[in-house]
Amino acid sequence: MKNMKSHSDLQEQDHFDEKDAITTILMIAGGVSEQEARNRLEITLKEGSDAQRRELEHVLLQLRSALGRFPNTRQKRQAVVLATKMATTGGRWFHRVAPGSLMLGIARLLFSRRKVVRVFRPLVADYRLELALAWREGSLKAVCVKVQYWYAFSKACGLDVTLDLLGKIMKVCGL
Amino acid sequence: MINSNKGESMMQKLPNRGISTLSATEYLILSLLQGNRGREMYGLEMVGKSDGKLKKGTVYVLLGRLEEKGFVKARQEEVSDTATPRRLYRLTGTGQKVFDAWSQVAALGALRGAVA
Repeated sequence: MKNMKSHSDLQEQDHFDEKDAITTILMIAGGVSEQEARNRLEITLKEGSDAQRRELEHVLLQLRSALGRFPNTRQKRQAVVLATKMATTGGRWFHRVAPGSLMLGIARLLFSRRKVVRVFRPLVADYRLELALAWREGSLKAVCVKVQYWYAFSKACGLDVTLDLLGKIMKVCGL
Repeated sequence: MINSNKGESMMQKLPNRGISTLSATEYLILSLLQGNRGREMYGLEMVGKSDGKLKKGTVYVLLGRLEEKGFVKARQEEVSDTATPRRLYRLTGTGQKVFDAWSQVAALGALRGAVA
């Protein structure tokens, strides 16, 4: 219960960022005190190996993006939800597939790497950004964005194929 | 007074005289980049500024084609709030020349329409 007390102290803070979120996760999922969690985080960021720092910075970036979906007032609560889920599932929940991964997977299967980089990666980047913003407005808006981008993705696939085919026909015809 | 027949023949000849072909939406993308005074833009920004003329599903396909033609140059965004960095586009020198040429063609077409 010591951890829960520290956790409630953390909830009293006005400013809550991704470092606070990771501290909450370490406290709840790792079962350490707030001070120890903060120390571990700072030590890894300052003195950890390059690979550790890169990994941690990546996690912090993901957390910032994930928390960005929620209004400030709900961010602390979401960090607690995340930490509790991590503690109960052993971290599997956190490593769920990022939005747009399926789109990228399909695109990689159908198109060349260059096409994926030029067409589909920017589309997925926009999708992730818009989806993160839509989550702040509610789940209905998020569903709308998902539908919009799946339609855009199918259009991009179809249009790409059609334009390539037209270009080849024009080349063959000597136009 | 411009002879409308002469204008028409010029319009027909221009693509065969070495000016690259450009669709209406490709022209729109180049005009958006041109209007942005050299500042880089990303796809979603162009969709927003096009008043619904550009769609999310087509903008990156068209930008990819323009990039292949050498009219626009793209680079990956360095710092991003999102996990996936966005792709930023700007007009190249060739793109600028092609845009200018097609603007003249469009102006000529408008003039021809006004005269006729």
